[in-house]
Amino acid sequence: MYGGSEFDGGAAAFMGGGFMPSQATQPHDSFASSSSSKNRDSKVLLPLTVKQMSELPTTDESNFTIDGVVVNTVVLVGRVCRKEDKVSDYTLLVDDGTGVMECCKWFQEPLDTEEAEGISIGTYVRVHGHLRGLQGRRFINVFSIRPVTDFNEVVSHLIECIYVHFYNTKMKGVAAQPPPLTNSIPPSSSNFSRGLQSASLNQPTAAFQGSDRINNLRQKILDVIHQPQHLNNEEGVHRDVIARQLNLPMHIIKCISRSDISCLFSFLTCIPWTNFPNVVGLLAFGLWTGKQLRLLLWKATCTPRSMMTTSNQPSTVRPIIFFALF
Amino acid sequence: MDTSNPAILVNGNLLPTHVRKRVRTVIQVLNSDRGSVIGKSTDDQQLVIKGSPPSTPLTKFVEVIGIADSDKSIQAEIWTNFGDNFDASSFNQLCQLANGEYQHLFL
Repeated sequence: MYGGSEFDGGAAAFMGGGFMPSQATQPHDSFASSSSSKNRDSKVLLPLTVKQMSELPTTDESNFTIDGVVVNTVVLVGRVCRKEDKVSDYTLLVDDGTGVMECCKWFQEPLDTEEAEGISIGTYVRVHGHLRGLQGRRFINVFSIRPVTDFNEVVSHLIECIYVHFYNTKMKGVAAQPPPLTNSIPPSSSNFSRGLQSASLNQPTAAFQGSDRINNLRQKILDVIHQPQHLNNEEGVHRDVIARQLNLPMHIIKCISRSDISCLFSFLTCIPWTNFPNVVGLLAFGLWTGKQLRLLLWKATCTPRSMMTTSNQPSTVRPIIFFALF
Repeated sequence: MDTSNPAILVNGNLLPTHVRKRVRTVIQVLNSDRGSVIGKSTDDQQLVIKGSPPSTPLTKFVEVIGIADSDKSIQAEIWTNFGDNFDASSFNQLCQLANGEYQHLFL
């Protein structure tokens, strides 16, 4: 959907796809020799904000790293706020909300000229290029630039920046291997965005299962559920309450609750989930719920003495109604 | 490269924390009048966007960049039509992330 041609499909997006480096591209390998830095596997495509690009540490203005990853090709989505046309190239100033970055594109084909004419001030563009530094200033040598037509792409790009930063700083150190993909991600899909969307539902679950941090989180949620004031509440605990008590964002609670629905069943049946299979827990839940419903209906069939008929019908009707319902 | 004048991503709830700063938000246009536009933020708050909209007709969703001059209004400098099919909930969550745990990537 969003320029899928430059991405390798949904599976590749989360096996690397240019965003996350593979095991062969650890920073120490890249720094070991210049030949390894030329290795194709080390050239990842990083979605970055201008703020991130401005803070990249560097020693020689040509080798940038961020979150332990060598920065080579970057992608930037923002609004064109200035355009300078020259004979052999044109320069755009692109503002993504975090800052303004200079993007320089050389005319190499007639197509480049047409492409430049389609971009004006105020146009949102997606820029791919090499990040370069010169005398303290940073700029992008653009090799691909195209206007944005679906503005969800702007939001999607910024979320990708957050996700890649999160992955490179937190998840990479926890998971030994990239998180396993589920069946919902077609490996041969050429639509990166679809891959990103379908993976996003399952990626947190797969990633979290391998994380001690998430196991701790799961335990904390169970602790909240098992607090005395919540244990006696037949209605259970709303996830808003859990999020508030643990001071966690709602999307984390939602991810955990989707993957751990069996824990909720075991809570309702007061059966420790580690001791019984989930099927038994589900059955017990069903029996308990059924019992509660039957009690409720039994109460509903009771009628006050003043409404009884002279034939004293309710005393015989009540059990009939009760058993008729079941 | 210049990061001295960022536009902070905000929704209705976050706007009060950034009064007199340059902000950026997406609204759903409810009512358009000369000199101002009444819109609904992505977290269902009513906002007043002051300024002159562009001459082209506004789409359902519009991004405005400008200075927040009160809890519920923005003096817009830049208007951009974001079309009719925009995922407001994703933008809303992005605002929360960009102003929360991942603020260092934006400001």
